[in-house]
Amino acid sequence: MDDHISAPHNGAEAALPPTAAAPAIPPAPTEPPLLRWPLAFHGQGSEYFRIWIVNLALSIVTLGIYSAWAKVRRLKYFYGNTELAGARFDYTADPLKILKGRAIAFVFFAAYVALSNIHPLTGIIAVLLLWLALPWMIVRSLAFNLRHTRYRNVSFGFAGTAGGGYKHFLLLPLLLIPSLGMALPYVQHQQRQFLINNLRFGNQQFDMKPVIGPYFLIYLAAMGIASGVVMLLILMVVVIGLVAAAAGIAFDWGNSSDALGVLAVLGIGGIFLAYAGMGMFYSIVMQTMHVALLNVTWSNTRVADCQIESKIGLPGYVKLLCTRIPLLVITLGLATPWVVITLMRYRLQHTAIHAPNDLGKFEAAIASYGNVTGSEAGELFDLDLAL
Amino acid sequence: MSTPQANATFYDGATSGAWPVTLTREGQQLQVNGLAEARSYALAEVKLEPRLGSQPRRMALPGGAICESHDHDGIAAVFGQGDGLLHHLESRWRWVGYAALLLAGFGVAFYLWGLPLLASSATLMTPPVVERVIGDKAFEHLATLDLDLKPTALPAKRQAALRQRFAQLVPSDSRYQYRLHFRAAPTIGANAFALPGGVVVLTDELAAIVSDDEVIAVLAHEIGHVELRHGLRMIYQSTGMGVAVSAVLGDAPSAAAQVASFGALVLQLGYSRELESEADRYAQERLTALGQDRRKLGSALAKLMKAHKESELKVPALLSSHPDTAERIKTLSR
Repeated sequence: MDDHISAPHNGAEAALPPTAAAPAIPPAPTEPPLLRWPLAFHGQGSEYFRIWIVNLALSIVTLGIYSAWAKVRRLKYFYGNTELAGARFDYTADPLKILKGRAIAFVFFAAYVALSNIHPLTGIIAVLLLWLALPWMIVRSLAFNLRHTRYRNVSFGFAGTAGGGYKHFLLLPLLLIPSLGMALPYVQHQQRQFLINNLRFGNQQFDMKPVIGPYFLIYLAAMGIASGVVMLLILMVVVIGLVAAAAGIAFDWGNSSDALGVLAVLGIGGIFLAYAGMGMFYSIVMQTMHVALLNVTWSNTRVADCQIESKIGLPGYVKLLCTRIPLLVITLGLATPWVVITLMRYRLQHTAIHAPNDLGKFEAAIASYGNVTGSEAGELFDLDLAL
Repeated sequence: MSTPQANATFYDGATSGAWPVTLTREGQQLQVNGLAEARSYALAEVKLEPRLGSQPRRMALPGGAICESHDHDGIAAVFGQGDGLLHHLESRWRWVGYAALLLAGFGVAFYLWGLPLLASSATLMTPPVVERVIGDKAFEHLATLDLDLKPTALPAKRQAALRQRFAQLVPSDSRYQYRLHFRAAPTIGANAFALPGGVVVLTDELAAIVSDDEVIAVLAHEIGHVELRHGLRMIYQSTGMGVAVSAVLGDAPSAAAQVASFGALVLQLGYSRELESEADRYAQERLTALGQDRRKLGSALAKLMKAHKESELKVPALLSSHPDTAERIKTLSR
């Protein structure tokens, strides 16, 4: 308890006096030496487990109404336990607004069901309309969620326009058709760049250098590994099937149908296991690819005079996934809070900001982005988009 | 008695600068000391956030500034407020235990009653046209699968006789246009199945081992699946299961969600047992109404089971979602 009270303060104080006392170091004519501010994550599995399970139970008891509060509490837990240069992040969205958005989405869904009952064509039109509205919803919900993400009482923001959303989430993916999917790394890269270049902290904008080459390389490597793993698993299934079949025939002569049933069950169990294994391998490859992309993306991103560093060790991350995902399966998902916390800690531990100062120089934006147009409308939709 | 005070960090909201301050209470005023000039706020206008885990506590001050503090005891003393009900629930393992029990109970109830109820009401609201489209697409798809369906070798005379009796079997007020297909299917063996919207398939292998009366009993069972809209219900139930699982495991890594969907598939099997029993009951009522022998379904099943035991195709029989077949034959032979 005691070290909790004092430690972060010591860290903060060591960095703070210049800001608090004099108007800090004057802007140097040459490049000032950069300070490295590592991110730290203080979340604990058992603590989050209790919050998680109370969230779930209250959401059920209140027929889903509490889920909006649960979302805010969950994000507050993750943001509030993320420390950078002695200060924590915060999520400040109003649960009532999130609830309103969810209620409207629910009404839309009910209307869709009722309409498609009258005529199936209206249902198809509704789906088409939803598809057309999706880019707009992505932009609005990003603006909403980022406006309510704060660090040192200065909020983030998203300056992307609906037009940009349509270009990157509706038109650009059309490239996948003539390229037979080969353009996927490029499409992803452009979308990520659109998101990050419109990201704001205070009145400063983020800037991501184009890294199309590494995106293609990472996709290529992931695809190579994934296809290798799939081949291996197909081989396993064939071997298990053959063994089961051979054993089945052997027992057939003895005409012992019970033993045969057991063997058949074992064979099927083996195939199921191989299937589950394939799912796990596939998602480990996907998650690792995601982290590799994060490294490339953030390591090439700046905000004002700060450079972001993202060096999440891939072998260590794979090792974590390999031990934690089976744990999730064995506990039927009950270990989720521990696993999520562990993964988050690992990722944040390997992230840092290089800044010429103590990060105390950012100014809040005069008009917060996303407030300008649409205002409330954007808060209707609540999409979770991982940046 | 010393006046209660708490250490905190002050953020003015205009910049990202941070100032270490101490908070004290003077009557109904909150005093912020340590800035260039001390500030004072009416305590009633300060919004103190409830505690969340061990993270620092925040309070929003009028005018847009905030204070953040790790000094939980100090804050409690200055504000004279506890940690809040939620924090109480979240930090006692006893309440966590109750929450877990509630969740488990809810999960079981949802599986046993909630989801089937939701699925059948969603089914009621879906127009039969949708089922036809799904069924037709599925039938087209069957040809491309490895099911190896071949043209039938049944004599035209028997086909005609069965078709005529099948037509009588279909209820006159049915919303579906039934299409009965005969197919030779060496890979799946003796079997019959129905798709949503009225497609019914009977394999030559089944027709070879059972009498016409028994074929009709099996077809009545398949008509039961169609009339009771079981295909659609299964679709809704698996969708609902997927939604429920992802709601619970919302923030789990995607691998867990995949494994969970695999578990959902296993749970699905539980539902299909119930649907089979419903179709059995439907078939028996229909056969009785038409003045036919209701026990024929039981004898057909017995022959089917025997055929599958004798063939080397053990896996499909074992995997089949039908309820314990011996049990079922016993019930149906009454």
